[in-house]
Amino acid sequence: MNAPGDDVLLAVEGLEAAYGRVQAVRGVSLSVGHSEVVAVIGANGAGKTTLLRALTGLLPSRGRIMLGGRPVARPSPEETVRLGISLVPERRQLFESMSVRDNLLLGAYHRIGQESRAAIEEDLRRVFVLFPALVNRTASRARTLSGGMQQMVAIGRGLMARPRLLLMDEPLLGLAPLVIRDILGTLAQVQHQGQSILIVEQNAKAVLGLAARAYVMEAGRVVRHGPATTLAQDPAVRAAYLGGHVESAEG
Amino acid sequence: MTLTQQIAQFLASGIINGTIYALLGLGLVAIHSATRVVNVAQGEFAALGALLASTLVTRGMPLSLAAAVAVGVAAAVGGGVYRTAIRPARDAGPLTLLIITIALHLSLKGLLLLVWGTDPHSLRPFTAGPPLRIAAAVVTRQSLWVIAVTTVVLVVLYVFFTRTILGKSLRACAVNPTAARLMGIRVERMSALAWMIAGALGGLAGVLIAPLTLATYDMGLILGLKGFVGAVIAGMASYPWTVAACILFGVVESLGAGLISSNYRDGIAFGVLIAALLWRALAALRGGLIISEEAAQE
Amino acid sequence: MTTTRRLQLAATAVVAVLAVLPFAVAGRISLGIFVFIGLFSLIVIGLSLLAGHAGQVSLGQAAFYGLGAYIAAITTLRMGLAPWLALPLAVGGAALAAYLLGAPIFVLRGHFLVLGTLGLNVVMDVLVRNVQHLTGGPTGLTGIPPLSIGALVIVGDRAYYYLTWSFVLAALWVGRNLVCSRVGRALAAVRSSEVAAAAVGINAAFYKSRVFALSGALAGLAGALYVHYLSFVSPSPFAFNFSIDLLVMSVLGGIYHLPGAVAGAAIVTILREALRTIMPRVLGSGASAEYEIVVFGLLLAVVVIFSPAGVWPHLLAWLRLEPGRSSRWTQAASLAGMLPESPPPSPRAEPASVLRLEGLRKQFGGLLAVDNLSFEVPAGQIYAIIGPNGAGKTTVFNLISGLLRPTRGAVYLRGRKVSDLPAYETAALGVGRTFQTPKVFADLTVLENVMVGLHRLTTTSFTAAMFGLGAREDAQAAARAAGYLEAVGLLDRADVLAGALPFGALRLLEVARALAIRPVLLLLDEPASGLSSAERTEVVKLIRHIRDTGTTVVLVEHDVGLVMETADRVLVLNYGQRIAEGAPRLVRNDPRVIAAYLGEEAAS
Repeated sequence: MNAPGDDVLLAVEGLEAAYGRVQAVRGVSLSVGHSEVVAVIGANGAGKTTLLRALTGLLPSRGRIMLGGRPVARPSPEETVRLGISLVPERRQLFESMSVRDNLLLGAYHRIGQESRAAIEEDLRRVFVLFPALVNRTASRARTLSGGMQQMVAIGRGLMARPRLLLMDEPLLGLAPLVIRDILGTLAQVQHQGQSILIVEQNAKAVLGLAARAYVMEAGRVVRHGPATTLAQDPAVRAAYLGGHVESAEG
Repeated sequence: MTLTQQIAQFLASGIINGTIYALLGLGLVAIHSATRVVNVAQGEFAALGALLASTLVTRGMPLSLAAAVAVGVAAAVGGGVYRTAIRPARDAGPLTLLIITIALHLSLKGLLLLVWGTDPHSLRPFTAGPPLRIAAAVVTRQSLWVIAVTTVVLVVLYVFFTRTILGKSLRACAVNPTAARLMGIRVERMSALAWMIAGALGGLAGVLIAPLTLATYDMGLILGLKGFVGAVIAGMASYPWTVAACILFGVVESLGAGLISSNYRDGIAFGVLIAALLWRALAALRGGLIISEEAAQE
Repeated sequence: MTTTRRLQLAATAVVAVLAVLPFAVAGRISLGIFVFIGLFSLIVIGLSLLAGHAGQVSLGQAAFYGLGAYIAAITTLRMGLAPWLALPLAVGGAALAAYLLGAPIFVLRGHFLVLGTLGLNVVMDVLVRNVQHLTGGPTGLTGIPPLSIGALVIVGDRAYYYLTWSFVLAALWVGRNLVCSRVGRALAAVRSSEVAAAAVGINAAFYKSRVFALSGALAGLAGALYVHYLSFVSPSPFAFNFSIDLLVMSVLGGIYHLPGAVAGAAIVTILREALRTIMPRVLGSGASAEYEIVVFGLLLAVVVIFSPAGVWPHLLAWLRLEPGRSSRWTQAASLAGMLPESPPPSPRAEPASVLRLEGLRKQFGGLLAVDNLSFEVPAGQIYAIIGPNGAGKTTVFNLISGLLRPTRGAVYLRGRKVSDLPAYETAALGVGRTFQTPKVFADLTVLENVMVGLHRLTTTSFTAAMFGLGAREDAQAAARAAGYLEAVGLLDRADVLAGALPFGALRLLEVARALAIRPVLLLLDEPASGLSSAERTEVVKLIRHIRDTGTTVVLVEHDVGLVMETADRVLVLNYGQRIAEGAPRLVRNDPRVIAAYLGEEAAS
């Protein structure tokens, strides 16, 4: 399901990547449009994380990646962020012994020298507007925060890079329902402001409410794709989570 | 001298020695944080700084310029060592990397020997004049320079690591290199920077101490070892604790040598070290953890 | 001619050369240098065992060399002890010193041994120089009596040459026995993965400290021989620089092959002598012999960067003597016959639950990974733990197997509290496990991997292993290990190096290794993940078979279908908390479970 052309921000064709010995991604094609939230869902081991790691250059891969209509040669992670793709990694990967503020600032590392200090400070303020809970914790070390707040820092850090495309790897992992609700609300705001997001998640229901389109991955391939609302009702999607048999909706 | 005066004197010289060890210890921590390597050749940066400054001054260069050049050259050597010997081997195990630094220690020491020979070289004190009396101790002016310069350096380092983006990105590389790469930080450049900082700190230590103890081609190893002691006691992670541990170590060494016998100086110092290691080991035994928490989370 | 045969011939040739060397060089070269090469070889063999097999660097071997030397000198000269008694005293003294220093230090991981042993050199040096009435201070002691046994006095280059080299050959024999024994396999396991080694009950620090003691003993032996040979001792040969020299010899020769130690000692000593004669001619008289430091430093750097395994492997390759992995284990296995799978030890009067968690809580800084978790696993069942990603499942496993300490709460195995035990103790009590990403011992064969699993069930001690006394037990272990391999279907690949196996086989190997400890409780961490559907079916069969032999199985899985097929009971975790528990059918239809996986609305 490719939509080649300039109106698509990211187009991936036939991506293949291995994680260790396992061929985790076997020919995946997808696209993300401008200001669009696209979800990739699937059970654990489906290859979703490997997909993102391949897109950011953390793993070698084969296949075509096009950003803004232009093909992208296999970049290293340092170059990926300069191309405008920022990753919020699985399990956050914060700089745990450093403060919240420092974590956020470092998200804008690649912009230093090219943009004014004021522009970066302005973005920092915007992150605190999005995540008011962080305002009182700017000086706290990241490792002392709860899981939900750490995730907020991770997302904020990703946004500080002013990416054209924000990649998110299982951001809702291990978070309490209330926190998930908050974060989803914030992400909706962010999308409203024009940010394109590709979000990989195991929590299908949560993310299908946010995304416009979604891809379902299983054993390294895309097995379903389409509008998120349609997929949310699809029995095969439920089967992917609760195993083998497709049962009718429980009472 | 009364006992109090003696102890004050030992304290003073212990603090001064400890300060020098701290400069070396900080360099070791910087390298270890960035590249996970224990740099056995750290002391050679000091020897290089001392010998080079001595020669430049003898050839007529003003002292402050000579000092700056010596420190700069040591920094460059640090960066060069990283590029040629450490970076190519970065995927090798810690054992191999350790042996590489031992080889570096031998090679650098040998090169210093080739250039400067076995004779000691002297460097004049930064300011001339008689020693000063401070509290109950008599302290040479050079010793005060050691304290003053090191204090300034520590402040600069503090500001660098906590207020500048370059310093923060260097810390980030040590804390989480993968995340650092995702931010666009070029981790290898940061590692080279860490080695240059270590080289500079070592070189500075050499320049500061040369007026006090003379510069020789083989002065590096013992200095590096003592810096290592403080760094390890402080856990190889924290800069402030490394400074504290090194100064404490210097004081213990000085008191031991002074009160017991100066012949035993190095023995006491390392005896204390072994005791500290054993104490840490026994504490860890009671804790009983076999792997780090982070590794278990994977 | 097979490689083994050629190796034996080569070894015989080398021994023959050693035997006639004194006569060949008589009058032309002083035999003394060869005595010293022998002495250094003794020390370097110990150091290579430590570095290559126990994975530890010591920069203090010179201190043990000096300790042995001074013990021998002082006891014979000052106390009039018979020299042949002084020898074991020197060896024992050095070994004891090494053990006392190493045993606590190995509990710490990382560069601590380097530091401790560095300090040792300095401490020894200072002591020797200052306790003058005993050691003779900087000038040393002279007139030390030569070695003698009764009326037989051992004096002169030739005698000490043969004596020293006899010891070298003996040390090589001991070293080889150790490496090929149960202890050697345990050390290889620890090198590959200390975590996986602990999971089969291996206490790494225990073995490392013994290897360190052995290296101290060898160095002490060399020191004692030295003083009886020269009748003289002083502090200078034992300085820290010598410790570095020894490391250079070890690395140059190759730390993974013991004969490389001899090669390294020979190369460095001869090179040094050559430099000593050449350097002054090249650089003009008056040039200090210390210039050789440059050469050695560069040599070491070049070798370690371009050939980290040293010179020996290249030498073997050049002579076409590379040994393949021996297949002696499978031969032993087929000879001994397949033993039936031994059932796990029968329970005495015990609580019916094999595993019980009580109020378990684990916090990582600000993150709560496991929250007030309690459950009980009845004996003989297949108990599955499922839950969304990040629910804390692997953390629970790590808490049960002892790799993590709980922040609060406890884990009980058959009524006994295990949550405060180190992981290798918990394994020894009967908790076997596999890992989410397989951790096999890549340098050992498939069969040897399982033999490592039998470690706590075999008894050959370190000392017995040194003298090669474990052969019969090893053969039995090989046979038993073969039985476990057959149970998982890997017997045909028994001699393959574990590192070469495909992913699915790695999972099976881990299971076989875990079964070898005869576990009461087997923890399987995502046993089916990454497997093809054919492999998955085999795994299901295997799990059922394991349960049928009486072992309780707890598994973590994402493949909910597999769980529904095999499990007797299911526990569902989310946010580190228990949200449902019971029979698979019931759990599957539980609205809370559906909510956890698909979100709240799907459940209504």
